[in-house]
Amino acid sequence: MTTYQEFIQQNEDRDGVRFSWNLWPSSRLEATRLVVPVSCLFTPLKERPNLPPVQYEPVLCSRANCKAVLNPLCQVDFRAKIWACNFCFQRNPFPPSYAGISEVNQPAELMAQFSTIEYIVQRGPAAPLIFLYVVDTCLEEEDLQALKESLQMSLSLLPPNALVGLITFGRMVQVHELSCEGIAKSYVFRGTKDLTAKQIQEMLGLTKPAVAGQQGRPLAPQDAAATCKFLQPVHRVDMNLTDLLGELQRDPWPVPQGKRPLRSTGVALSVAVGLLEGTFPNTGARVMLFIGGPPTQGPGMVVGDELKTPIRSWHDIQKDNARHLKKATKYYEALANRSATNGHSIDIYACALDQTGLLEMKCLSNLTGGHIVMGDSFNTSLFKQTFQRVFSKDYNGDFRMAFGGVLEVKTSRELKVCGAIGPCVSLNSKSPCVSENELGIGGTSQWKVCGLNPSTTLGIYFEVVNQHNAPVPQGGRGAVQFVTQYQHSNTQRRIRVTTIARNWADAQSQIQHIESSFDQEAAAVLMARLGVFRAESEEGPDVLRWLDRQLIRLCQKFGQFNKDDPTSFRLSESLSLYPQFMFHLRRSPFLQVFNNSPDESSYYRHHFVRQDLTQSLIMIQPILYSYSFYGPPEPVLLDSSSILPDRILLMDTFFQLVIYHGETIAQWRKAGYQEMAEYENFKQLLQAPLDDAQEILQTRFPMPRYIDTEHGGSQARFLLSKVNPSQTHNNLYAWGQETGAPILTDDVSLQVFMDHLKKLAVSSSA
Amino acid sequence: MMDVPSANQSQTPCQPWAGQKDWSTVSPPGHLFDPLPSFQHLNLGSPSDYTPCYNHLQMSSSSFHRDLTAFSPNNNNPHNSLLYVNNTDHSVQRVIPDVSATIPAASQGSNMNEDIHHCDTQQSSLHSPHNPYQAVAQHFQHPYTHLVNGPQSPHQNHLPVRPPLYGNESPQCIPQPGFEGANARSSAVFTHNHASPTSPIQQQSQWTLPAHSGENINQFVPTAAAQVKSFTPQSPNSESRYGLDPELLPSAVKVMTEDKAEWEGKVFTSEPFSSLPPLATTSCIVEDRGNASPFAIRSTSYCVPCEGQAALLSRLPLGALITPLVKQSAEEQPLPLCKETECVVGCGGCGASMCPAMGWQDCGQRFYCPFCGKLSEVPWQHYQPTNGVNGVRVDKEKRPELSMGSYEILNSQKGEAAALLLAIDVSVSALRGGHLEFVTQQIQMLLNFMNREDGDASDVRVGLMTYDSRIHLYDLSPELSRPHMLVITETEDLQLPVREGLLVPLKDCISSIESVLQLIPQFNTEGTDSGGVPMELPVKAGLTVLQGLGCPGKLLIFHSTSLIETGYTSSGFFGTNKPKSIFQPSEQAVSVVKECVRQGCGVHLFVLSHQDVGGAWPGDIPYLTGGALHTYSHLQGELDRERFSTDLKGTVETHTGYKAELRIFVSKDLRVSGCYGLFVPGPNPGRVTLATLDTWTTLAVELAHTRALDETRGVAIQVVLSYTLQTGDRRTRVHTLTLRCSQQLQDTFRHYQAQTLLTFYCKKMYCAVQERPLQELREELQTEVTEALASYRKHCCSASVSAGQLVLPQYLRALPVYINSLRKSEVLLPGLRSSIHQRLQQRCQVLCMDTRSTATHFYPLLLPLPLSADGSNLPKPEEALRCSAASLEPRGLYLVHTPLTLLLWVGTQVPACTLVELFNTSCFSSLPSGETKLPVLENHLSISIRSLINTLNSGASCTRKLWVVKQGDSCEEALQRHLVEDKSPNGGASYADFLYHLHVNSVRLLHHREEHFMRYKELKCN
Repeated sequence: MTTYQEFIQQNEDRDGVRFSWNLWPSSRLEATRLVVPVSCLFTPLKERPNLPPVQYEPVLCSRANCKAVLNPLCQVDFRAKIWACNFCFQRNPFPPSYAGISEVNQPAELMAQFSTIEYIVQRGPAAPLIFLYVVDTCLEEEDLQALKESLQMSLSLLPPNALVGLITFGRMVQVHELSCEGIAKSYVFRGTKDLTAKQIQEMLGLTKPAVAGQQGRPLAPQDAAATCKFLQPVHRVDMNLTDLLGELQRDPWPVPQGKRPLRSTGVALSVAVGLLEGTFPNTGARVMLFIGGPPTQGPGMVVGDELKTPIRSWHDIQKDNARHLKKATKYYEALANRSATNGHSIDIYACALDQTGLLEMKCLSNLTGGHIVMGDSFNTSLFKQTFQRVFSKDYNGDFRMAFGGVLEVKTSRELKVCGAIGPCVSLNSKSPCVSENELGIGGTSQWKVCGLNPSTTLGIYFEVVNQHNAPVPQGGRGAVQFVTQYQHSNTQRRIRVTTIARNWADAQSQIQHIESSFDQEAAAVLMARLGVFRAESEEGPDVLRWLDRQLIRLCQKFGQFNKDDPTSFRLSESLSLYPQFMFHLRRSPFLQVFNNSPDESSYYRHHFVRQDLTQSLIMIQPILYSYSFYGPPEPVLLDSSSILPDRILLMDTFFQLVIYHGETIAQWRKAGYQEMAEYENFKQLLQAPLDDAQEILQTRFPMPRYIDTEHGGSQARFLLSKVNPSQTHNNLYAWGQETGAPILTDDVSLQVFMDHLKKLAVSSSA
Repeated sequence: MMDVPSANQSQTPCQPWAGQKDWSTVSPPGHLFDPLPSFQHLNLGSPSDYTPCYNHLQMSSSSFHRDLTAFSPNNNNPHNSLLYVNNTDHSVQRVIPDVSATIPAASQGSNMNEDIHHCDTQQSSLHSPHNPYQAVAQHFQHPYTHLVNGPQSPHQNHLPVRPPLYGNESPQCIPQPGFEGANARSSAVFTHNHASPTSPIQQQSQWTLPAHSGENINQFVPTAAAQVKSFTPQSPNSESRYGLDPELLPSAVKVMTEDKAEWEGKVFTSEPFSSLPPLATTSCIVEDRGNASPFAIRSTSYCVPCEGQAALLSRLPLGALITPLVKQSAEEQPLPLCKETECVVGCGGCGASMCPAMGWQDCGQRFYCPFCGKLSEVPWQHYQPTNGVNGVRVDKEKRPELSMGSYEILNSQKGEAAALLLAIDVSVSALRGGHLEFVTQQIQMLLNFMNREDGDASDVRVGLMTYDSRIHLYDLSPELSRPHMLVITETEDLQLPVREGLLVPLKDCISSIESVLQLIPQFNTEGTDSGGVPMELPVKAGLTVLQGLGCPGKLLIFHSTSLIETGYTSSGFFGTNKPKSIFQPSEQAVSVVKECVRQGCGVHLFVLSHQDVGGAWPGDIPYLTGGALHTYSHLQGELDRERFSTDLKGTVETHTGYKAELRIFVSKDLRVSGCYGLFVPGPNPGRVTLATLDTWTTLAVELAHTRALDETRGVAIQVVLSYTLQTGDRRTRVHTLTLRCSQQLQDTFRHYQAQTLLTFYCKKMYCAVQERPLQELREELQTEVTEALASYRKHCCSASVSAGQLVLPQYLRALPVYINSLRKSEVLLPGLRSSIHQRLQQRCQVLCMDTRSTATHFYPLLLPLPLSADGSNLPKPEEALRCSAASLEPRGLYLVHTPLTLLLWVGTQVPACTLVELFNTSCFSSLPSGETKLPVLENHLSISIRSLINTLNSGASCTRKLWVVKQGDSCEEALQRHLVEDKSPNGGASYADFLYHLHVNSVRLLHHREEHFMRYKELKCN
């Protein structure tokens, strides 16, 4: 048998699943004692280059409340042409098309390597992809220019048959008609009036006003694509739209001194949602919102237009001093829910130096699976490349995006699903496998994920419901099936089915096995997601305390120690990194709001709850590479001791990419040694981290902020705030030693944290 | 009430003597001193008796007196032989002699003048000792105003004339018991007379005979033509019920002709303390010598009574008609323009501008402001010494503000240039109407024309807007590759999505506009007709555009859908905002207008599919903002199309002042008590704000005394108009008029002109219709004139005038016919066939007319046309005929010209060759009637008549359709409306009846007063 490491890796590669526990405790009681719940990180659309989709429909269990998909774990009677559902044990006959089935002629879904299989279903007409640009025109001239160029560029990236639409807004909202010739036409909405979807559709002429008693016959449902003049195929309106974008003017209303421009983001979004709702419900669509500032008027207003009242900060929120916060949040939530119901996702591209109201608007993206991109200006490569990357394509030439996903989880009887954390909304589907305990978005076995990409990862939490006195027989396996229906970017409807099984283990007798099956990385991320999820609704310190308590309990459960002897405390290898993750998580911007604006926190959290395990881990604990003359680049401890004068450091926090030149290196660089032929190696040394950074920059979405700094540089704070402050101005003993740089902070270092952790874990009173 | 209202009452209007009941109430038989008409004498003998009488009557005045005494107890009813004394200053002297003197005049003729003068001198010494002024004035007065109806005087003699009833010193006024019986008898005869309406005609022919002999004293003697006509049967409309010969009544045509003869083409020098200017209908050249042109300010009286009491006594209004932006004729000196900084500033106290009426004092250091009575210092920059301590400034002639009655100041502050905003209805019904293509073509042509023109027309900022139930704005900025249409769905409280591109200089956006205009007729006609668009929608939208860009402008709306009424929604059961009359604009309209005025936005509405019935009248907003309402029926006919393009062009090209503020200053002893015209009245009548005004815009100002006036200072009226030109230049135009004032009431009367009074009354009454019932207004009008006549009779004809004599001040001869025409105008007296919309429209159109147009409107020009052309005999306006059916002959062609209509009447017996030459048809019956375009035919007659029509059209402020009316045709009623001397189709009294009534009432009024006075005296004595 391979190691758990390999098993985990293999599972992830094949199914996109990482479980916190790879052996499951056989009873509810034992499961709760394990502290970290049985849970998994699931990447529904994990890229599988070697997985060709099958061109037929899945075979479903005939039991009405099961409907599980035929999978390799099912028992098949080839002679009777009958299969038994491994979830409900219903015996189902194969459909007639499976008549030729036999041991040697098995369909793909019965083969073990197809624990994840993708079906292409031909159901209904192929719906086109829809991209609706919602563009803020209250921008600075260069910003707008850059944005216009990006948008024009994006037209060439869109699939030719995709429908595009354009809504611009400033003080007022304009919906541009794209089909008309000779004359540009747009519909104008006031930015201050909240409109219902019906009103919007009527105003846009999408619905014919009901003519009472017109021969008593209902109007024939019209082909929405034909009638909707606002959403047109790219190939047809390409030129038109390029011109239109090129001529896009800044909001013409002068902004008086001491005022913010009036920005009707709320109404613009409401119009966008209403437009799509009226024309293409349940069709994959992306609303792409580009904003250069906070909404300042109308519904969804985040801050007034007076510059003298600054936008809310965490301080204001804690003091309950944020006037518009609740109302705006409620407004955007309602919009997000409507949009999610119709399967449309909303992206937010916010580029401004100040906050833009992401805190209020985050749910738009969070609930609909849209992106949030935050930058300083549209005229930066950060935005431009990120935006370009939205339209990146995979090895098949398809866009790395999927729409209207519905994820359904089916579990075997001993297991129930508590909830999910990720960019999804509940579909409120009550099936027998839904637990009463909720973790994350619970109470359902189905979630809608309107926007998906190959890295979109949900944390799914389970509960073992087996009672302690009725243990699962030895060797039994629990199974979970994930059924993801979605609209592929090539407009196909697809269903991906992943069925996994894990062994049950008795926690008393097989605790070692269970311990070694612990996936500490997955567990850290899953716990972090729980923490972040809690942090959305609870006070920061409460969440930290909860995390600490969980950590202590875990250490008590699995640590080996003598009572009240901290020095005796040991953790096994499978848990050894977990406390460190927790330490960094506690300091991370996901849980610490200090030094972050509400918008930034929302932004960080947004990405944290949707990225896959690797990226999430980077977010929790940034990676630090060190470059020196002494050897090849090596990962080093995220510790202040790693900051040495003759090193170049490359730190990747997911959101930032920092290249830090140590003091000496910086001096050398300043002196220009790299330009001298005899110091070619120095030049190479300088170049090495740049190349590596470039590699990361190439692939990551969203593009990280790229920072090139040096010892003493102001931007070095990005590094200094992340590293473990093992040396601070407090522990002066380190002064003078040639080991790293002291950090001016009162934060505890990892050492102190661990000391405390050990003390608490071994203490009998805790 | 004389009129027979037909529209608002259920009476049958065609009953010819329906007014009878009203009449009889005027003459209650029991009245003691009632000088009521009796037809007694008419029935005393057959007409044949008259000739002998006539001969017999050649007797001396002494015999007359004898007659008088002999008959007086018996006869108090002389009225059916009304004597028209054209009473000037002579009237007093003539009162007695006119009876005696005309007796020889009737027979001797040639020596009559001498006789009169002889008598005059005698009588003046005898009868008017209390009025030395008149006695003196007599000698330099123009002698052509005399006794009017000399020929009638035989009857006067024949009948015992009752003694003069006025004059408190009259000893004859003792109640006599015999009267009662006479009255009773008279009423009986009165009814009898109705039964035989032909009798007056017979008499009339008799009466006119002596006219030959009296020609040189009687200006109202019928011409030869009239003589001939008297033998032809007359239209029953023009005849009088009381046997008055319409031909002998004072003629408005004649008054105008005379004035023209005197002034036409001549120079009128307008100096301070203006003399009586030429009539508005006379085109003359005005030379400004320190007083404003009468075409700018025309006072009702050019001699103001000093005492407020006297002014009240005269019963005639004190006021002025102001046309501040009046267009100057080519021969006149252009208005001097001075810069604000270089101009001597006006009064600091009241804000009046500098004018010649300011009195300089202290060697030019201070000036006295006649408007507030304060002394103002002259700033050192503008100081110039005066000639003498109180003389004129030495630089007077160089500075227009010191020497000119009218001048203009260019303000240093420049405003925004005016814009032209076009709003086109593109609702489904408009698109289906099929006329949009034509409309857009016309607009395109107009814009091209404006653009081609060298000069500033191509700099005009133009905006475009279309609308159905939504508003579509167009961003026309030249930076855009194509125009951008912005559909605004939320039309309430409209906000603009863009700014700069909405109004773009024409030369920059002409191609964009063209492309849009070409697209408009092809707009999507799908969708449902929402039923109508409130008029306020495009107005508000246009206004918002102008507000957004901060500029004044003209808003041209091309509306097609039916108009739906808004604004009266809240009038529930207890609704308080019920309109007082149909003329009252809705509150909503008024609030929109106020906004327009603030912004300087003139709305011109072109209703392309006119529905006369139902729906709101959309004209309030256009007219109250200085615009107009033009209606067409789908622009299908060529005439309509032609009219449309002319109207469109006219609307754009008219010289217009925007965002105008008008201030009226009057001498400190007077105040402005009212201001009438087309505007939303503000709290202060002396300060009027107008959205736009053009060269015709005329307001009437009513003045009232606050104190007695100083005769030496006279009266000054200053009109200060601040307005913005099309280019954005802000200018202030100052008109100052100084008038004499006098203690003598008679002076005042003599300086009233009928046309001015008509215009004044017209403005006042047409404004009052919003608040008061029409009947009340009609009665008031009648009462006012009656009282004025009575007052004149009492105060200005010192001695006795026979009760049968109508006395009228010289320049007010035409007043009765004008006032009658005003009374029975469609606005004040609804007719059967006139819709409410027509009346509302007419009211507004007339309200913004100047004096000349108003006069022509109420007394149209009736021109006989030649039947065959030799190219030279085109009728001149001087040859106009009286507006009476009697003037129309079946063998003739006549043109009726008013500012609003142009009618061509064709008689049944017009020679076929004329018809061929003119209409290209030889048959009278196949002649089309109704609106017609004369065919373009290359013969002299056609050419000359068409050129005449063109000339008349060029002077009109709105385009008119030519209506052809065939004699005996059903549409002859259209013509009858304009024959104002006749009984009108809407039941209005004929001129003769009105005049009769007027006179009778005025005499009776005096009588009443006297009686009261006597009783009062008696009471006191007792």
